[in-house]
Amino acid sequence: MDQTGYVLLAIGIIVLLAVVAIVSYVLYQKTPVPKGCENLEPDPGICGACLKSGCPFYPQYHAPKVGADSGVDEPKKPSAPGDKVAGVAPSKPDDKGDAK
Amino acid sequence: MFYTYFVAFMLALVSYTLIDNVLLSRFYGICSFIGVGNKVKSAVSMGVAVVFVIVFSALICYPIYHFVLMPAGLEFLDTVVYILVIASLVQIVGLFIKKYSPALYKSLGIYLPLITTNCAVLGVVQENTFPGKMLDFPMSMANAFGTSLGYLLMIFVFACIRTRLDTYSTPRAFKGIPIALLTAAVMAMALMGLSGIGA
Amino acid sequence: MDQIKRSQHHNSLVAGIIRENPLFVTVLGTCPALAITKSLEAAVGMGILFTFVLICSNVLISALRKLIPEEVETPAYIVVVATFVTVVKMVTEAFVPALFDSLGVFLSLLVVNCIVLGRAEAFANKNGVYDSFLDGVGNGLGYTLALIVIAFVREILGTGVLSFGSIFPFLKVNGANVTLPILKGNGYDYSISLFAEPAGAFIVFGIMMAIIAVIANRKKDKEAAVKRAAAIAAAQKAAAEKARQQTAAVEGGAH
Repeated sequence: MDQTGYVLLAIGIIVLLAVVAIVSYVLYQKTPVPKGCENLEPDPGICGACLKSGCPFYPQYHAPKVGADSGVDEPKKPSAPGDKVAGVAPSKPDDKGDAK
Repeated sequence: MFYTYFVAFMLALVSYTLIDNVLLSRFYGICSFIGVGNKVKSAVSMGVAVVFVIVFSALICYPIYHFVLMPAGLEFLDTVVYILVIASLVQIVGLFIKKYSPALYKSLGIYLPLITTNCAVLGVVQENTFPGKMLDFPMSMANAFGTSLGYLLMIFVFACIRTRLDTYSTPRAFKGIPIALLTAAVMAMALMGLSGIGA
Repeated sequence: MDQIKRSQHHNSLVAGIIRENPLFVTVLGTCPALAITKSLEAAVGMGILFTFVLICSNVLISALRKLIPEEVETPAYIVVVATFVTVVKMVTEAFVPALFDSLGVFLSLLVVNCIVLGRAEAFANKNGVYDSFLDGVGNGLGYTLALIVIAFVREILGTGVLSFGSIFPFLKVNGANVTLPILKGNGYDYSISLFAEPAGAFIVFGIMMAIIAVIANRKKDKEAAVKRAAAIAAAQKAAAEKARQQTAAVEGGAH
């Protein structure tokens, strides 16, 4: 087979793979979860780094949460690493003035 | 002749599993490794799923690169092709698991979408065909097996360590990710001592 | 109206740099951060390429956000990023081959980088093109800064010298690399070679995260103290109110 033959074969394989990927993706999203597996909870640390909003478990790990699981990093609120000296937020001035 | 090649294969396997460990030396797949909590069972299920995906992806991607892309002169399309192969593989396997095996879905199925974008899978497949450092087929399969077994081993060890770590009181600043990273540092130091075997 | 828009643009630009730094705050994209930071130059190169890929993918995905149906979001984003990464790979291999060799597989791994896909899904598919562009610039800058910090520490402690020129040839002076001897020079060598090894990467990253946790904890403690003081003051005020009402009732009853 000469080069154009291989190029056509490569394009054909890519198109075939794209079709398989799309079809299997749509089928995967549409098949229902097997019975008895509705309330699964994956390990929060393992899934915490994944950011696919299409995954059914996504909202559990990326909604703003208050507490944190043991062994998992707490969701860090805005911090200012920059210089190691600065990084302290200005304290709220009005609260203490009101209550006397 | 077969014997020497077999020995070479086993040495390569050990090298890719322990000495050049995927997580602690080559740094693929760290994102989901750091947050592993103290549940050993879910860590092991993640590891087993990774073994499946890496081995089969390497099995499929290597021939496509060597027998189709290279003769066609289209090596630059390798990244796109690999992503398509990995995604289709994961989705087809996930489809079968969802339909026919609730037990497997309970343990592996939830991590399958995560493995599609895991650096380890794409990293191994790209390493096998990196221009200038290309491996032949048995070595690339040794890479695939070794990498995935190394991943499984290290994630299991790490989860076990974390179960003990939770019972100790770490300083407040180190709770969570920093102490996990320092634990991984100690594990990496332990593996440093093995370098030189079969190199 | 204009003021609000400008502050929104300003926010998307600045947020990614320090306040929501993708590496240190939302711990994402750690694979290149540990592997590439053995040398400062490679870290800068990786940061530049990462920023370019992030900006391009953010802009394109934001431009196409009305056309991509929701079911095929994730694969579409991956394909978009993959095309940009392929272009970047080819350009790098042609113009800066030393960078291509030192980055190795991690250039291809930008396709599945958590930050690129994360910003695409969290920001680019909900906001306009200009905002996504600024968000890409901000996050890219933040990630590059984080890489530079780690690489700086690792290279100085690990090899003792800062060397420029092996990856970007225009930095060479008189055809040789520029080496700034800091911990290692003529006749003295105080470098700790552990930091050039993988274990050292974990140590540096872990200690950086601990430093940031200290700063975040201090801020959290301050806020908690302020809140507690406000709660105590409010409780005192309520108690004083109640006492005043009781004395008023007693006086009213006495009359």
